Amino acid sequence: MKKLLKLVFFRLRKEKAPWIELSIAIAFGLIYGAVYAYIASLSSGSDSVVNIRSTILGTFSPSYNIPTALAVAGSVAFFHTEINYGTLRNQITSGYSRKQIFISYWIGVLALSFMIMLGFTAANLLVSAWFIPVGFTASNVGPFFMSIGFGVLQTVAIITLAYFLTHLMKSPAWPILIVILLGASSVIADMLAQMIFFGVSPNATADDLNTFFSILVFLPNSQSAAITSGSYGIFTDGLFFANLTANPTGADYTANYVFAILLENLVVLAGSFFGGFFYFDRHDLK
Amino acid sequence: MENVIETHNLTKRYGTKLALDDVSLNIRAGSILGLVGKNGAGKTTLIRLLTDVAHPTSGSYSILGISDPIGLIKARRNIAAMVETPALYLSMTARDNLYSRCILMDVVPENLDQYIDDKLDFVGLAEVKHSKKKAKDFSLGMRQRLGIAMALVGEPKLLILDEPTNGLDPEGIKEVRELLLGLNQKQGITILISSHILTELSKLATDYAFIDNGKLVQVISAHDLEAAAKKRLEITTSDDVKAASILKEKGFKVETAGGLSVQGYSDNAALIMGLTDAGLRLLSIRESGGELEDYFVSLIDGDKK
Repeated sequence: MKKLLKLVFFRLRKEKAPWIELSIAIAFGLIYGAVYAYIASLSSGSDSVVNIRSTILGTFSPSYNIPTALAVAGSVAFFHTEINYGTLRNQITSGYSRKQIFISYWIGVLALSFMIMLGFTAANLLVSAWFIPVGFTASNVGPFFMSIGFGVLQTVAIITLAYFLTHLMKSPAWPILIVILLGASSVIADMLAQMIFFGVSPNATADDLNTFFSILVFLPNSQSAAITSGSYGIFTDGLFFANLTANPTGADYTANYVFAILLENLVVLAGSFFGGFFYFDRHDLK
Repeated sequence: MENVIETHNLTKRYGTKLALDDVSLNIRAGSILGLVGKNGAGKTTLIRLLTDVAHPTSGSYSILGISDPIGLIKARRNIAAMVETPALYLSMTARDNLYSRCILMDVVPENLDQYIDDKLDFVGLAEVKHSKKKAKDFSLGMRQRLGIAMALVGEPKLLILDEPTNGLDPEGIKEVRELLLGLNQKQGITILISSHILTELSKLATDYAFIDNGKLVQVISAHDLEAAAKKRLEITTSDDVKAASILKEKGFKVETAGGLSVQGYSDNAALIMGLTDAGLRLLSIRESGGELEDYFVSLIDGDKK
């Protein structure tokens, strides 16, 4: 399998497409940094919603922002090329099991995705570091890294879902479209949930919050909101910045959102991974 | 002689369509087996099964005597296949494609550059050795040759080629043929080659497997095929029974099933004179056979005489 991985990374290095995707991610990172800086200039104070902490979280949190969409598109295109060129056949006829091939490319598309995400984050930081507050305090550093961990898990789950769908569909456009549509629908569901349970008022009741967290598991995009809201009292998501006091009663909902995030992402990750794994192993190659 | 591949009642069904029906076939080591059949007959399906690109619905096969699933994965290191089209990274150069194949086959020669150069020389692609031209910009013939070069990395014992001359011009076809003959005769590589260009196949194959509608119709050596596909005269006279009797008396090899035909003739004039002298009217006379196509058509149509 080491040889397969070597081949996958040789391709990543030699093909133009991953470098083009990385360049686009960096370009968007620079644009985002500038936009964040502009938004930050409109607010004031150290508790500004827009700070470096929130921009980094933004890369990984709302699942369907630019770097995630790029990572999904790049991963799908990278693996689909193997199907399209017929080169997967070479690997099957060269003494490698389908399981080894599946795992090698899964690692390859994850590596490509994180290269894109990190390219975006690095470019974003480069610009935003000059203009916007860092936003870190002694108390939020720990939750920040926990949130990043959840964000990474979420990204792995999304990319694995896209990778799985690439095995099923002839055209690479479909997996990309499906994942992005799922994202868009979850953003809408998230916005509706916020409108229903919090309304325009920042003061939600304990009952509202209980209901919200009970349905959290079904709302992928709300996870990111929960990541940032639970510990920081701030709601952010992919489309806009809102400033909601999400915890007026002082109740600790950490366990609720951790459970929801873990459960949902692990279900998507395991379902996609094993679905793809067994499908690829048992199904005829296109 | 040892068999490189043996299939046992190999069957493949796609939905309700039976693509391959109970095929049992042996491929002798050192042979060139020509897989002959119409488009959609099941040639590619058989190759896809042997290369694990598709799974059989039932039946089994062995490679170099190994038939257990884990052993088969390792045994496949001894085969190289070009199924349907050459599987190349089109956005890479010929050298990078060959390097990727070396990685895959765990081929680590002392001088990798020289090894790759040798493969490119061998298939007549010396002009792209140091070129930055991507495989997508290669002609079809160049891609086929590069596909063969990639297949040769790791020195396989069996080469499986599905329509390797598809889309090639006559010169390219000749080059590929000579290349394959060289591999078989000089390096002893067994070759399974499918094609529907039968005249081309007849210049290569030492054995033939005829396949139609998913069924293996016949396996025959080139030598036996030559005898079976001999030229013959198909004759219609005013009295075929009398004509057959006269021709037999004159020493001609005559068959009467499905019409009067004569094999092993050398003197057409003597044959015709013999019939007309006996008062028979010659209604038609047609020469047929001698070609693989004719044999194939007669075999498939079920009217082989």
